[in-house]
Amino acid sequence: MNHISSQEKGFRVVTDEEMREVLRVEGLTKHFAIDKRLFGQPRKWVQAVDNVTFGVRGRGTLAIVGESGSGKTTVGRTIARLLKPSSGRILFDGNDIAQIDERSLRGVRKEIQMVFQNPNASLNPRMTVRQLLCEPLIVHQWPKEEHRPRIEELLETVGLPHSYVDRYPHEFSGGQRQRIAIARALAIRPKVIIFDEPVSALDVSVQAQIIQLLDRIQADTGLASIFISHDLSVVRAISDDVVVLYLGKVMEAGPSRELFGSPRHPYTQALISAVPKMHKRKSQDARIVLKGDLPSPANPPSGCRFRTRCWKAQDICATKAPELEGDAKRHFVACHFPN
Amino acid sequence: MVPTLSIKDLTVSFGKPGRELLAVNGVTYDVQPGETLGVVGESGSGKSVTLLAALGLLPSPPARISRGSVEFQGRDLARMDAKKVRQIRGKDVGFIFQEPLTSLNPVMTIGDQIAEAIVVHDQNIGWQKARARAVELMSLVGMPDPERLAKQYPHEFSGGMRQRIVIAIAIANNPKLLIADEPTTALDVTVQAQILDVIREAQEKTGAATILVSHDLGVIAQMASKIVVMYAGRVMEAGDAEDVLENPLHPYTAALIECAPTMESELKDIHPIPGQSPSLMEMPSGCPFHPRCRYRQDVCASRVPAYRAIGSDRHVACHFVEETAEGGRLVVPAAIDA
Ligand SMILES: Nc1ncnc2c1ncn2[C@@H]1O[C@H](COP(=O)(O)OP(=O)(O)OP(=O)(O)O)[C@@H](O)[C@H]1O
Ligand SMILES: Nc1ncnc2c1ncn2[C@@H]1O[C@H](COP(=O)(O)OP(=O)(O)O)[C@@H](O)[C@H]1O
Ligand code: SF4
Ligand code: SF4
Ligand SMILES: [Mg+2]
Ligand SMILES: [Mg+2]
Repeated sequence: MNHISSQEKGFRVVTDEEMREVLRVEGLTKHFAIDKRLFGQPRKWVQAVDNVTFGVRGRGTLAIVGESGSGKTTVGRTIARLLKPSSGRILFDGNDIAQIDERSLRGVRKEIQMVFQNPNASLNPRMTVRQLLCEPLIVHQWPKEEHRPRIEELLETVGLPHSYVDRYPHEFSGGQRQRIAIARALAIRPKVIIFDEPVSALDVSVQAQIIQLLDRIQADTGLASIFISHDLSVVRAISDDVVVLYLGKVMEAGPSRELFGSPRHPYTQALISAVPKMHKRKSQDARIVLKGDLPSPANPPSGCRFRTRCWKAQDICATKAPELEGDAKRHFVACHFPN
Repeated sequence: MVPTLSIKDLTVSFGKPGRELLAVNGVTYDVQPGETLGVVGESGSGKSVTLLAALGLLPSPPARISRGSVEFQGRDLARMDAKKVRQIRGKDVGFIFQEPLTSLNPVMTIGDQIAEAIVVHDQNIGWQKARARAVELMSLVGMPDPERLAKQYPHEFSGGMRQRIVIAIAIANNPKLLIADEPTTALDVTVQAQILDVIREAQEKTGAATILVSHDLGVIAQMASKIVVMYAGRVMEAGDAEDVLENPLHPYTAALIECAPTMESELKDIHPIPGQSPSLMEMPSGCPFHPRCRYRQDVCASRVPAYRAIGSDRHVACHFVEETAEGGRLVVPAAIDA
């Protein structure tokens, strides 16, 4: 797998940044078998995540963006070790947790938590808020006398009145449920939380509340986060770093300001251009409208995976996969003809 | 000009008399031929119920229109017989909904589905011609290799392609009115951009009046010339889309714009609206926005603000918006900290 080393080389440019990374994935790959169970036929594989490398800085928010099916959730679930990676390394606190067994994972689960898009699915409807918040404390053996003050603290942090503590999830709105899910993830003071589309199902007024809440929590606790989203305007507002995925591969990555300020990959440019702008008068730039749909991840295009929709594609794009290469500003792009 | 669709004081409730829940409360708006009206509002604000009720698509019971009127090309739909209304709905109105799969037949090829939509309303055309027209429509909505794709079934297509098929069906009979209710909400932004282009082209080709419902101000800004802002079953503000978005008069419109992240805003520019939208069960008294409004005064909790014209091209429902020489402005004694 010589791609990995070249990616590593790219990221190695700024070593002191790396020093401050709390989490780092290198060459992360996850293939799912789509087992057709036909005699004599080899199994088919979906390359959901293919050779992904990035680092999450302490107190920072790294966003993962991309279209549906690009592999965002799979990256998140793999890092949280809810899934086992096919290959690659997940470096946390200097240890590779990619392949460690269930027993060693207990320590990791304390430090890396995940919050999902749909709080209904992640909150047990038969448990009260108190029970929901207690559960992680019990699992991770917090001293009993600390449960009560911790729950009060958590409710305070996520902006829910203490009087709600004996209510059940169905008695809350979507935004409040997401607050409960966030409080639950925060309960045992993890170092990293992976948020998978945490505001996508919420109304815009409530979405703004949650975004501000996450920002405040991060400032107060020094939490590092991975924020998975398909909404570029949200990502632009809250992320420090961004990784753009397409069919499981990193197309472009770098500091938010860099990436949104001067996107270099055609796919990133198209994504940014496709966001509908609120003020017509101000947005005079010609829009880039991509042709066609995302190809099937089970059968990705040869060479550059984006080539079937890329307006800059040349012959070489079909035969040679571009490598992810970085510059001094930690801005990485995988394209034969970047801007 | 006679509006294509004119909704006046429409009031829709659900449930048994005496224990009714008001989902839509005195909504008034209209759309002219060739114009795109954008209806924006958070979920549950009554955007869909207004349109479904107006076109007789809500089962009654539980839904009931308790007040108001709806005119299609100047004709009162309530006074028309049911058969005529059905005919208008089938031929003169094209629908595009959020989830295309639910409006497509899973066991019929898409070519036949589009052709059927034509044949049903034009008995003389014949299947062969209708199928040819279906292929034309498919290329109009940007489907590559339409002759081949016409023989395939809905499940063989992506969400974006399915939405194109739905649009082809919606415009098959040159409708007078096109209703697109959250047509791109389930799609990726890149596909959303394609579909919005297709809707725009479809409208230009047919000259249909279009009502585009969305919770996304950006989508409305890109597509609509007029805008209606709904909250808690009522219209808060309406007017020219660009004017309203650049110079909102109603506190809710302003708050909605301020909480939506854009590609220009920083985190500090995103100001959440405190609290949450009310449920039908606990509608606030007076102005429905008052529990969340930073400008509220005592009167706001007791009196419902009238929905009235401000200047020549704006309607607003707020006690404190006044008409001025430049149009209008919000004048309140003092802002309170919400
Ligand atoms: N358990 C699984 N078995 C087989 N394929 C899977 C599995 N989980 C995910 N995939 C496939 O892997 C690819 C990436 O999926 P993933 O859910 O990570 O995408 P995503 O970027 O999170 O998309 P979305 O925006 O829709 O949430 C998709 O093609 C998906 O169908
Ligand atoms: N069949 C129904 N029975 C009872 N309440 C309904 C029904 N359909 C819609 N509602 C309610 O009416 C209100 C407005 O709904 P809707 O028009 O669908 O909102 P929007 O389209 O703006 O999201 C919501 O509170 C919704 O829950
Ligand atoms: S490598 Fe080629 S196909 Fe891929 S993004 Fe660059 S120009 Fe387009
Ligand atoms: S009527 Fe009162 S509460 Fe309602 S929007 Fe106007 S100022 Fe705010
Ligand atoms: Mg996902
Ligand atoms: Mg709706």
